[in-house]
Amino acid sequence: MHGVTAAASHSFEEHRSELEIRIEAPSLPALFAEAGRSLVEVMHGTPLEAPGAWSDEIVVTARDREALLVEWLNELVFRAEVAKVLFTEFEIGRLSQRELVATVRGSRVSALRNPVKAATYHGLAIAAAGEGFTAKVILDV
Amino acid sequence: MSETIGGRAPTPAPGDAELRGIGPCLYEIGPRAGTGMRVPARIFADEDLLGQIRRDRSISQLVNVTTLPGIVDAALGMPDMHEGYGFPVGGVAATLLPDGVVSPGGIGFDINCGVRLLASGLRVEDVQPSLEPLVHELSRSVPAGYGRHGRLALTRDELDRVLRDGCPYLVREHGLGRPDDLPLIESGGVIAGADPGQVSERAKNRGEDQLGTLGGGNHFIEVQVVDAIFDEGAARAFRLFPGQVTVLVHTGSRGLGHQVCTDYVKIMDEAMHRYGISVPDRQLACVPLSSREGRSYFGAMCAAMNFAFCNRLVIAHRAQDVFRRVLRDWQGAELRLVYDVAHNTAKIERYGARTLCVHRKGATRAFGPSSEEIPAPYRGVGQPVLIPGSMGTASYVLVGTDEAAALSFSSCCHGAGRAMSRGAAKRRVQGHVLRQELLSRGIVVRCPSNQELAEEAPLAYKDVDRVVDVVHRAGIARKVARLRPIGVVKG
Repeated sequence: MHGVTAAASHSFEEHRSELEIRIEAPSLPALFAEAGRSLVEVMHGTPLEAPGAWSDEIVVTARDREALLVEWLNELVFRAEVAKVLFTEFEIGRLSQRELVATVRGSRVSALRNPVKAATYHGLAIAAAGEGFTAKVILDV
Repeated sequence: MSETIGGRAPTPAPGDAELRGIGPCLYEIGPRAGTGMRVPARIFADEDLLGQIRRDRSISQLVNVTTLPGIVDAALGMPDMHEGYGFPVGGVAATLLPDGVVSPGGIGFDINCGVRLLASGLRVEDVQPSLEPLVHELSRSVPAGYGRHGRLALTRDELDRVLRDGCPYLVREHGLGRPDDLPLIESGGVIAGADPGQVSERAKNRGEDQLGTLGGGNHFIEVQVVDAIFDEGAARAFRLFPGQVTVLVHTGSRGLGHQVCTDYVKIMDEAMHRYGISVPDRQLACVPLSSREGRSYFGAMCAAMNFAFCNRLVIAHRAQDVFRRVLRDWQGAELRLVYDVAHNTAKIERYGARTLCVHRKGATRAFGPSSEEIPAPYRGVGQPVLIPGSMGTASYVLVGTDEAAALSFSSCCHGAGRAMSRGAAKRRVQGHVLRQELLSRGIVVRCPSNQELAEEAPLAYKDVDRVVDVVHRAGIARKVARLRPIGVVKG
């Protein structure tokens, strides 16, 4: 992956039955927010309310920042499925190597089409690149 | 959404020189110095399937599995093996207890994803005039898709009973299924040692409204017809005959199972250093089964297995109702359970003097006729092994062999195995065209969207006929019957 200075972005690479997300971002908070946005792209549903009508605070802990990325995505998978919500906004409040506090907003949907079973540790990486960061994480879909 | 077209170039797998044929349709990579391999990696395949397997990183992943503490004999790849995360899909690994490890990644997120086969007494010509309403009613009666509300509402206490007591609880206390069905479910539809107390509230929250739901991806209900018999004796024991209409249900433990795996991969990733374990891939996180974390995961995983057995039981109950309703004028509309098998599990099994934890990820248990676990109607014949094909292609009924105990820890393949990603399939196939193609072949389809239909197009999978032929020739299961789809409800 090349150096990162511009706005956050993501791309997908397909495996046989998994989906790899590649993220580039100018900072770690921007990287985690972009990871959330990439996850939403995989989910579908017809919103029942205005974007941002639903919101909640999320606190995630893990043993290192790579695991924190997996746990963040798995928290979003869980919340989406249980609350039947499509996220529209990710506000990263506090981020350390082992803890993330964020506010997420979204819209409840009548029926969520969420093909993501979980984020995995397989091939997981976060690296400094240029003035920013890159990451890759594989979803089981 | 930006997307890399064509997917990633595969990491080079071990070279041809390292793979040597050691038996009928069986290849081996021996342990190499400096690799951490504790046992060989063996792959059941013919040359064609081996070529397909080598196109992704599944062989490297299988080699990684050989490094797990306590692994015995060999890490095994089935002919439908493809790249997964940590373990390859279609991988089998047995660890020696009490100190061998259990690895949630060796079972997968969809714990006890599996298959249930029901057989009617009707012939295809009896059902054909009612096929459209039959498939339509099946799609209305069984919620499909992701996270959708199910038909069986459970209190939290009832959910815990499902998790601990499995199918016998639903039969006895909810009047779903029949007592006679229980021996025809792998392990009687209840895994000893299941502990709902080890299943997180999060997992229970994900699963509480999903009992009796199909789920998406490659999960389906098919109406099928028996179009070939290969072993008349076994077919007679399984009460299968040419032209007979059957129903195949393919689903698993839904969000509950996914969350159990998610929870315990994290726990083991954090715990394994305490046991002096390091793995070449974090998704292979594992601990000794005898450890506190290992016992906790095993209790939760067995509970998720019970949930999946119950999920298929509820769906089968709905299908039985639909057959009775739509085909009420026909004698023989009653659907009878042939068998229900799991294909993402870890189970404690005895092989000679050894007690092993056999991980099967995308692999099916295939006990031979000598096994004491064969239900009475099939004693002396072997365990039915159900192999779903890809949507619109054949599925198979096989029977386990005694030889498989030594060859594959009594395991065989679980399906055709993906050969192409979902996105690649969508780029190659238009859903509405596929729908018409299936219809022109006499297959009625119900699917939430054309796009999702295209994701499961037959060309995205390996050739199930070839996969099953390899299993048969390798002697790890024998072909009994082939089932051709005439109706598909896709999750």
